Formats: sequence, C-alpha cells, structure tokens
Amino acid sequence: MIELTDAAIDTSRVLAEVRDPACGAEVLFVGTTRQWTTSPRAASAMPPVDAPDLETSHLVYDAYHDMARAQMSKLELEARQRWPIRQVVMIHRLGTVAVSEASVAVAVSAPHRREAFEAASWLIDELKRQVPIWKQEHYVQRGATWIHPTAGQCQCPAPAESSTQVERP
Amino acid sequence: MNAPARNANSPGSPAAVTAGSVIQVEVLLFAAAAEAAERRQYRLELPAGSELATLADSLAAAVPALAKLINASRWAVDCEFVSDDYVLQSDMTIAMIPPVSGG
Repeated sequence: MIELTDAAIDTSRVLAEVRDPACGAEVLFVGTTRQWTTSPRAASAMPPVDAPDLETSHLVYDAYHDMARAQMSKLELEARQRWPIRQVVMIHRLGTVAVSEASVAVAVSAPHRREAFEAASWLIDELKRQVPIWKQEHYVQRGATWIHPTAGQCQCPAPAESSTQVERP
Repeated sequence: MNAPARNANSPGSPAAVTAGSVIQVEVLLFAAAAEAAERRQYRLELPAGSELATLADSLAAAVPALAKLINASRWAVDCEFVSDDYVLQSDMTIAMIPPVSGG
C-alpha cells in the first residue's frame, strides 16, 4: 500500500496493514521530525566550531504527487523481486509536520526477520534517494530553508530568511 | 539551427514563428525552485527537436535565481527520470526535480 497523506500517520494501523498469517516478522520504520539539528555551518567549519544546535519548530513537505506515487510503487515492486516479502506499506506525510510527529512510515512483513529488516531498510534508503518529495525546515532561530542535499563539497547555509540550503547528505 | 528560446511568460512576447519550428513546453517546479520562480509551472518556447539540456539552459536564463539549483537537479518527463539528451516534444509533462529530501 502506497500513500501520500496530509493526515497524521497512524503507526498502529500501518502495522496492522502488514500483518499476514504467512509472516513471522513485521518491521516498521518511522521517520520523525527532529527537534534539534547540529548547525551545518558549525559542523563543516575547519576546524569545527561549537555553535548552538538549530531548533526545528516544524517541517513542511512538498511533493510531485503523481511521480512520488509512481516511484514508491516501483520501489515496492523492486523490493518484492529482491526479497520474499509479503506485505508492504509506504506512507509519506505532506504539508506541515510538527516536531516529534511522523513524516514517513515504511513497514514490511516476511516469513523471517532477515528479509523484513533488509527490505524495509532498502525501501526507506531508496525513498530518500528517488522519490520526489522535499522538506522545508522551519527553525525557531532563523526562518525557513528548503533542503536540497548535494554530495561533495562543503556548502554553507544561505542567509536567514527563507532560503535554499545545500547540505551534506 | 539553434534559434534562441523565448520566454512565453513575459507580456508582449513576439508571436511570429514558423508553425512546426517551435514547441511549447511547461515545466513543473517544486520546493525552492517554485519559490525562486514564484510559480509552480513555467512555460517556455523552444526550437523543435530541443533536448532537455536546452530547456535547462533556457530556464536558467529566464530565471537566473534558479540557475544554481538547475545545475544540481534531475529532470522527469511524464513521471520518469530522463537524461539531458532527451528530446522534447509539445504535450510532455516535464518536471524539474531538485535534490530530494523526503523521509
């Protein structure tokens, strides 16, 4: 089951959805909004400097809905080819997500735990690489920043008000 | 061969073109790209037979605030990732996919 939703994610429901009489293992991953983030400027300075962690007030998620659903479905199909899993649930929340609330849930059931753990881990890793969803961090201290991570060289965050931040993945 | 792309979003764009020599494309924009362009779709007119790379250059020229993000972005046509040499046609749904940050 693939879902994009504005509503709070009900993790009990997610686990119930993957329950399967042929399965002895159910793995649930929940991604939640962190309240504290180490300042990228402090962490990437040479030498690294002490700076107060950034406090997140909330996240806002944007998505290319049609493609996000299509990509998530493709990931499920591929996971089913790689591992003998039975049920899969992938839910991503869009819009505003407050601190400590769930932004994403990935659940997998399989006859045995090894496949369930591996598939769930792969699915969330690939979701984070391939699915057109973006988060905007709203910090208590310094406005809002869209997160567009790029690999490679150190990037310093842009100025305080609504900006694009490139950070190490 | 390479006629300059025209910005179909500016008021008073010149209209005289040879039918069939240009294509009209609309690019979907998201996240920081939508914010920089101040809209979620951007229309461009490109020479027929243009590749995605031409669209990327044209968009960067039309919206300089987008240039850096364009360099870091992937592109999708009809919900599939495509490479820079993908040949565009009218009626394709094209999306600029900046580095993603879901999950």
